[in-house]
Amino acid sequence: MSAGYNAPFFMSRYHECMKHFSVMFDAVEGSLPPDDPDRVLLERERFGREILNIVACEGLERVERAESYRQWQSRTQRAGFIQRPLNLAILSQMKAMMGSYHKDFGIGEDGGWILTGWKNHIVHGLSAWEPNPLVTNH
Amino acid sequence: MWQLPFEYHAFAEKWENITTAQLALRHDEVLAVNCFKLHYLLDESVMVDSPRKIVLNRIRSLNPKVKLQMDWLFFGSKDVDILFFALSFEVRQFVALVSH
Repeated sequence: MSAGYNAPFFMSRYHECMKHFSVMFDAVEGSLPPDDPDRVLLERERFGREILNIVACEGLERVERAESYRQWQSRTQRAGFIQRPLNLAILSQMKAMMGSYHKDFGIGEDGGWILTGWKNHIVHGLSAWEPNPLVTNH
Repeated sequence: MWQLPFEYHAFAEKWENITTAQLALRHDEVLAVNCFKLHYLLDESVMVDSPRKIVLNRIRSLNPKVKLQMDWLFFGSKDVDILFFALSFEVRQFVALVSH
């Protein structure tokens, strides 16, 4: 998950949450008919619960803590990993596959991450890492 | 497809409490760690020694061949395709990495 709704301050968290879930609901709206049982389940049981947790919970109770892929990047580096270069064959294979999806689903690459999203909003990031030999075990 | 032997062990444990010993790793294995749903772990805004940090550091201490970070959302009728693709993506990426 790559999103910024882990901000400690309520208003910025609320705005990030609003931004992220607007994209998610929009993507579902573009992909599934309104009466699709999977859609109802996804919107109510998954998105609904996530939004509730992000907006209404603080401290230990808030478990939805997505960060942007850039934040994950520095976090993973700090833990003693180095990023593997992106396998371009996999990226082009994924791009080919996306061709059969709604045109607003997108896929791209930045800093060795494969990024997927909807209408230029990044939703998920994928990356591969290996231990940095220069960093000793913790 | 890959003819890999398969064993499955489940843990009902908070991630940060899982110890290396529990994983029962064998030294003749190649270790790959797939990080799925890391964003559910508490971070430093709640406690300094956060589960998020502990888990990443513990994965590092396992010295894996590769660590993948991914997260995916499935949409409607394409579920099976994407799930298959996500899985085959992982396996291929992994195979591509270890064969270097």
